[in-house]
Amino acid sequence: MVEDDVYRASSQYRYWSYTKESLARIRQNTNDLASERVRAAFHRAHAAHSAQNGGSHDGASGGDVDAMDIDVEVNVETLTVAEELKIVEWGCSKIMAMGEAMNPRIPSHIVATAIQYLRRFYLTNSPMTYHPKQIMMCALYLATKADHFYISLSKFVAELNNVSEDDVKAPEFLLLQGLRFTLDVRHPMKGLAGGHVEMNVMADEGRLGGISKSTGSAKRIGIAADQAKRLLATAAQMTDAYFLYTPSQIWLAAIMVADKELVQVYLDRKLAELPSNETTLPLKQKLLSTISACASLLESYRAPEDDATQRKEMGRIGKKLIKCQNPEKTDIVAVAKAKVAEKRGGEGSDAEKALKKRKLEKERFEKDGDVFGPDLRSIPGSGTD
Amino acid sequence: MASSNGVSPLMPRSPSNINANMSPSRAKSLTMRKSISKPPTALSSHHQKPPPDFDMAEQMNEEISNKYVKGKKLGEGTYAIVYKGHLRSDPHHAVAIKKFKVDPSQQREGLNVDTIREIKYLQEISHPSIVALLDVFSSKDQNINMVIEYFPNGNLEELIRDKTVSYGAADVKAWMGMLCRAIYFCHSNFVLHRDIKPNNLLIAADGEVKLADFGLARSFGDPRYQMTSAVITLWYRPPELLFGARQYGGAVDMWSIGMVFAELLIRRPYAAADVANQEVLATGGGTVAQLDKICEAVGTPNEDNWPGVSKLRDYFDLEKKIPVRDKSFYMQMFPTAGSVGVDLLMAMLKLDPRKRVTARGALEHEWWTVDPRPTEKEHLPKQGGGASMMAAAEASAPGAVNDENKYKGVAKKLDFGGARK
Repeated sequence: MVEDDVYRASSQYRYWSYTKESLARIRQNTNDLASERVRAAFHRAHAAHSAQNGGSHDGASGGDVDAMDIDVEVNVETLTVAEELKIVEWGCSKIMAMGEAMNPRIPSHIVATAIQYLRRFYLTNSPMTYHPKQIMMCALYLATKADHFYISLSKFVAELNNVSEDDVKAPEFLLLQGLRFTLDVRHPMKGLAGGHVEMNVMADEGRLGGISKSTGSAKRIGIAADQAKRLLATAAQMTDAYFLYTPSQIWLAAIMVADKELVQVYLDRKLAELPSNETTLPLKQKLLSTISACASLLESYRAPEDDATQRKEMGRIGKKLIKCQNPEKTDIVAVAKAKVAEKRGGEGSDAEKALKKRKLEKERFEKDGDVFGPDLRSIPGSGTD
Repeated sequence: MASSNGVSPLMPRSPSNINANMSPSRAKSLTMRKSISKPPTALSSHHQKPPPDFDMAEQMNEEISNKYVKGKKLGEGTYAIVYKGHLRSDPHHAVAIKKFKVDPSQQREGLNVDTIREIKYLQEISHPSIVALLDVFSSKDQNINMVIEYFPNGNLEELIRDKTVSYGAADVKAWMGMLCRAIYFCHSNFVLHRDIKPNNLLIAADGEVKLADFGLARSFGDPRYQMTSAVITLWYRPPELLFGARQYGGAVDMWSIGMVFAELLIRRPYAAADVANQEVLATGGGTVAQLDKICEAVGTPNEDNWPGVSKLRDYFDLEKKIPVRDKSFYMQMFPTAGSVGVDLLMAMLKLDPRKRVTARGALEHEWWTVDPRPTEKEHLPKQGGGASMMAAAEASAPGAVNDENKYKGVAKKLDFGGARK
């Protein structure tokens, strides 16, 4: 088995690799389904309480109405796919912040696993159904268990504000199901570390052309690798890189962002080592265009905290989400319990209970206007381990 | 309600090329996996219609769950219940369904890590000599069910002990070949099994022996992270783990394989500490007793034959001083292995893990090329105690010895060797 075959046997390839088009299609499906459900849920709530119209039109976001028909009776404006993605991205950045704030600090590759869990989960689930704030802690905790970084749940919870053990573990099953019971995530970080070493060796042996010991190759490669490492911890996590590219494409792309020539020379050398020469030219072109595409994706990422417009946009989406959050799913602990009950055959009372809770919660939200929790803490881009 | 095209979007990017260059069983398992992603046209024809409020993920789960019919219980352990089952579409296609027990008192931290890791690694590893995970689904009560191949013939431990079964060097070579290929595959995927023993080697319907039970498995290769030394069932645990090593690699599995090899040859465990005394075990005496057995069977570890051994965390000066056993000792002990077979066995049972043969080295050994040729798998003896023995292996807690009657008093749980901390 060559390396490619090994990767193709992985669940990351089998279940979680897409083309741009297929990725967009899935997200649209998920969004359609969730929007329908949100409307139905509001409809039920409306009927049940025979209250007046939900009155959720705030007019501020008229341009974002998706192409769906809006229920005449219960006028709910649902999120678009792009808006959902922003919310998920927010959840990812919170996971990163949690991992860093935790004592002991959660290693960056485990944080990255958790982020990918969240991103995978939201391919088939909408933030309108489950807000990332309900799922993200569970994703991080699950990643520590799956990736052998033991931390007790009580300690984990103690490190977070106002979170109960139930809040963390209640959605575990839901999450596992959304992950299709695949827990392994192949990261580009190890490949980068190996590539860094290999590039140094090649430079020392004079196999990287102009990039050699005498021209200060170690420093140049080191700088590129550092920048790449930062990209892998941020841009690679916050974009669709993992869904669209393989780990080795991602780390090469990250170096390419830092030092294009370095990657080109390196690939030239590696391809020259291949036995047959006829196939290498088209192969090289294909490889370079794939890596370049991935590099542009990584480069295009801007952290919201560096960007006032994005922050404002996030605020707007957050407000919109308050009004289209599926009222039957806001209490994740109740939802998890209801799921069990539902599967056992009993239906009804739990949904009502959840609704009541939602009402209370909504009142609380409106009081402090703080759906998104406190401001994002600034996230240092460089993972030190 | 779900729009009819709203389900199962998670199609692999290029499923058509996945089956190229693939063994039949791998291809089979993938075919089954692929069928998960089929459009849900058949959904409505199943006996149970999902409630309208099912999420996309739940609908997919329901489809998988509906593919199987759960049959009679094969066995039950501390860890799981194993049922026989079959495909709804083909009642002759038997499977085993391993349902992990959900015990709320043991779920204080959510789902048990052994379960999580077994699922994690089996999802990634697919090899003709490794038990195939066909599907995972959740059932009511939020239990996790793993659908695995069905093993009607039990496991190697039963076969070794069943004196009515006779087998020879060619059979041992065939089994060892399967085991070595399985572990080479794991190691080249950076996965350590950490619980290799005859009990976890299941005998398939066609005679193939397959490595099972990945509850103690983990990935390796990152020297920055320490691992626990409390893995591998005592009799198969290598000396470095008995001495508390926290950083190790594939060599730990290779020692276990060497012990399995020896056991296949002499039909009893080669270095087996007396585990009858619970008290001794409970105080970590198992570690001392096992090291004692290793001194007798292999030789006493010291700085000469294993530079650095005395630096290991739990190292202590061993009472018995026995020089490393030489080839003539092994030849006498394992006459059926032949001279080249003994060479391989000795390479697997090197005290110093750095000198121990790797999985690749084992596969490249001369033994495979000398007589006798390994038996064709269809001619291998298959009486490993029947399906209930598969269940016994699958349902038990990892690291535990299964048959309490046979090993009266054996600790059900791992001996965590904590006495000399």
